[in-house]
Amino acid sequence: MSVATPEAGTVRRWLTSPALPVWVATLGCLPLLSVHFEQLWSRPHYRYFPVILILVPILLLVRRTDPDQHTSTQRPFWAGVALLAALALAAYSVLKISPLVCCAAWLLSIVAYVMRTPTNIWALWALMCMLLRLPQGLDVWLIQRLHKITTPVSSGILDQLQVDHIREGNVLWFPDRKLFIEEVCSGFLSPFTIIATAAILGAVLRRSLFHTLILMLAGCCWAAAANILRVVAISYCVERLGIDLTSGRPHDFLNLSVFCVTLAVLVSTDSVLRFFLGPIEIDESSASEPVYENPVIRLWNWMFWPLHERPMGLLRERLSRPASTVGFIWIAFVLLISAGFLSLGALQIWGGIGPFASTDPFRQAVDALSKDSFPPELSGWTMTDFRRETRYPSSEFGEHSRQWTYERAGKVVTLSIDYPFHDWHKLDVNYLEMGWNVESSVPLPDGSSALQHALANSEDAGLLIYDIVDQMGQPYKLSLDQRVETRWKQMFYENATRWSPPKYYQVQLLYLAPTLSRPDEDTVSELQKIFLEFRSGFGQQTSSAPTGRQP
Amino acid sequence: MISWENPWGASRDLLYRIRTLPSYIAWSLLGFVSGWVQTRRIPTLLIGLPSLVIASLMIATTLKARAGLNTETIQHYIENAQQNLKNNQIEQAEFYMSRLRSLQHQADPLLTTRAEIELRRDRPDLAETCYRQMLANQDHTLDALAHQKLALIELQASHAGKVNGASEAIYHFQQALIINPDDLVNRELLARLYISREDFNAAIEQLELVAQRKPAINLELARLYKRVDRKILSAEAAAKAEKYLQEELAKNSTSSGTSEELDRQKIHHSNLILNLIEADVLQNNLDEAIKLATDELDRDNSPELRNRLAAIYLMKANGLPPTDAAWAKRWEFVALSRNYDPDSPESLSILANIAANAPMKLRQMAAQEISPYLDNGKAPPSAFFLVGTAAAESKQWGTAAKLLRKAVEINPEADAGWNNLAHVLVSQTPPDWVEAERCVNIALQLNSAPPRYHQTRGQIMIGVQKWAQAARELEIARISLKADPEIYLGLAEAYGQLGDEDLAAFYRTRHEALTR
Repeated sequence: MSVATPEAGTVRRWLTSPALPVWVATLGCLPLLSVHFEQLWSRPHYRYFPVILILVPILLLVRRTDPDQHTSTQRPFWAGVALLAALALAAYSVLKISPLVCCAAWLLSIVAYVMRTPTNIWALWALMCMLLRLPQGLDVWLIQRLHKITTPVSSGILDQLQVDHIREGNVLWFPDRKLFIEEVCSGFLSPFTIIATAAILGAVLRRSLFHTLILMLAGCCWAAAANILRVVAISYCVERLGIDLTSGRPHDFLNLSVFCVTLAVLVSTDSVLRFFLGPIEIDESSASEPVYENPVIRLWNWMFWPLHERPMGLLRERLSRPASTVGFIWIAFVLLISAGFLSLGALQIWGGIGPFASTDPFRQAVDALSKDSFPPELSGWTMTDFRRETRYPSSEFGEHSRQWTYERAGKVVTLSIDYPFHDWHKLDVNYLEMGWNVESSVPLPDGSSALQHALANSEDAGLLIYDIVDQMGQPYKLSLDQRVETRWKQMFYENATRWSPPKYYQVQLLYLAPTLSRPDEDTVSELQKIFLEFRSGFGQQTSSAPTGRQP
Repeated sequence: MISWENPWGASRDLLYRIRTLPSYIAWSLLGFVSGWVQTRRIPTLLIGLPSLVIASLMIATTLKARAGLNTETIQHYIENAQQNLKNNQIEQAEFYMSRLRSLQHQADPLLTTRAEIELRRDRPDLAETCYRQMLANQDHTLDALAHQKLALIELQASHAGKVNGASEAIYHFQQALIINPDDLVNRELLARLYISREDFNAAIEQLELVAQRKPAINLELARLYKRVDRKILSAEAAAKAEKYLQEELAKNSTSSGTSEELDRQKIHHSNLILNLIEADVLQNNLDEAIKLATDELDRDNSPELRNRLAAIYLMKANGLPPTDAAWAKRWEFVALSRNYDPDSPESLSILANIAANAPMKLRQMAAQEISPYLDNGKAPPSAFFLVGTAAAESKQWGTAAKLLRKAVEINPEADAGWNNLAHVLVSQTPPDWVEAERCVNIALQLNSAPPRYHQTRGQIMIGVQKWAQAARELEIARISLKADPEIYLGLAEAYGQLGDEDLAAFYRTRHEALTR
């Protein structure tokens, strides 16, 4: 079937355009995508993502006009499969209210575009995969693992520089101060940033996929080296030169300097890789035919020849094939898929996801907590102090903290609310990082999700009890086994509030015993009692928070 | 470029290909190597060289850093800790030591420093663990020090009530001396420990060894000899001490330096003089001691020196025999002593003794002198007792009762005071039998041996007509006081009242025979 009028030709061209499904998928995923990007921004180690979002379109525009780039073959069938999979994944993400899965669905929809465009942009698509974040707190775990490597090495280097210090976990103690490695290594310069920089470098310099992957791996090592450099530089400057580089502009300047050095080293590493892993370039005009038949060279070049400029016989053969044409079946399919994506978008708007979310009243209630929020006497303990603390945004202890100190018969206990967290937060790991010996968790006798750990180090012994509640003040629930997110059910059946990005609040008790011995059973039971009362009081304080009703 | 011929060529025959497979593989590999080498770009490698160098440096540094603390760093931390300890900066010292806590092998210098910190932190148990670990270590160079410190810790623990603390301390001192017999400090400490346990002979044994190389210790040795009543040795040791002290005094004669140094020199000089005086006293050269002290008083009118001079005069007073002439001399020495220390209890006691026992004139003078002290209660208990007893002997019952009451009030353990008070209470008019019985009972509880106490009690029993008890008490007293007729009179009366006329007659006859 063909369309005769020019308008009809324009409409058809527009409908068969490879970009249309991507735009529709973007619209459909936008609410959850916005949440995803918001979550990425809240984690400083992912703050490189705007660079990718800006860089990819620029590179795409540049490469579209480059005739050398038109080496890809079009596969409309597989593009359709990718779109269908993207829609299914997007539907799943909406049902589960998972911004991360939604971002994956969006990237899958871009695969359809990559498969239908003559330009070879797989490298750019691969770069876009850096927009995904690692799930289940794996990113934080990786950073902590990195700190575990960098801290002892930094300590060893400081020893060689004769900077007197003590290392306890991920804390460096100096005669007159202490430095948290996490704090020292905070800011935009994270391992993820350097790995992303390696990926960008690979994409911009048009390296092969394997080359880029190895460069990213090297980037991981250079990230560790950069962290060591930062720790050593900060410690040396603080202790020997009296210059504080731990915060403010000096810290940012140091980060920038280290980043520049790392970038230069990455470029240098890229050259090394290019020297050793560069393709065996064959002068086609002068080379004899049997050279193409050398299987080792073909394998080598298949691995290390940049995707966009493979001059091998196979590609030339593919290029000689006639381009597949798309017709009404494709148009119908795209319309159907578009309807699906747009429906999902509408569902998210109705649910109040992303930019349409109401303000979080629970957070406002927690922000407003003060000394008077809890009684001066709690389970026989007397309040002696109250503190508000604001840490840096990516702090593992939470950006904000409200702390109440209670005392009884010489025993001091600190009760605190630390927030916000995006998921379950293993507080015991933080104490482990600080050099405490943390015993395995014991559940509280009340059967709640709260966990209790005995703590000990060379100078103190203590007890840690903590629990996590969500923004509804409800205990943390893992929703992996649920097919549909509970909030949707609540919205449909229970007239619940509109949804907003998930935030979690940690309720914590920290008790340091006056002696080296661990607290006895009576003390533990007293502490459990005051913790439960505190948690219950926290629930009461925040339950009166006004909620945004569904329109 | 690569232009070798493909061994497989254009043939598609399988057998041919299998036959030529080795040459085909060789062709492929050689072709790859040749192609790889030909297509490398040296400038690319040059750009990459910095990253290779940095990576190598990083790997080397990491390996070195992960190898742990080296000896130099450990030494550096220990030295810093010790320096801070010297400056009394415990927290800083603790900081440096905590860096070394994780070391597998805790060497002796490290343990010593840690133990020192624990001691300063008043955690002797942890310090003890460190020292014991030092003894368990293969390195035995600091074992003597460990034993010495353990001994001091045990000594401290014994003061705090640890049962075997002192014995443990002695054991550790002995061990330290076995390792290093020339350690005078340990030997002297061990000697002092023996002195505190009143094992003077063992202490002398140690101090004799110390004195060979440390003459100043001769004075202490002389004191000990005197305590064990070895007067000749005491005098000899004191003479050696005197010789040494005089040499020291000669060295210390020139005064120069800052005001602080001058003060220090002055204190040292005073101590030397006091020790010299004691050495003279130990040699029984009391006149020389008095001369030295009197001469020094012109230069240094310190209370210690005045007290020492007063004490020497009292020693002279005490050394006199109880003759009339001697009482006068004694009075003179007490007066001289009181010029330098008028209120010393010893001088007041001697004064009371003079007031009680000397000839009348001296007695009156002494009584006049001591009277204000008795009135304001500042006299020693012995003064109250002596003057009170003297008043009882002269039958001044009121005065005697008052003074003796004061004596037992100040010193309730003075059994003689209670007995004398009981005697006064039954002798006065009217007698206070009940109070007298209470007093004599206390005297007998404190000391049941003296027969006079039993005699007093027997007399009281007669007064309250408890005849059997009176007879029993007087019989006890009679065994030792056979020549006292009063006892026989009392016994005769008691047995008479009990109906034993034969015994009564017998004791009456004895009484008459003694009084005749």
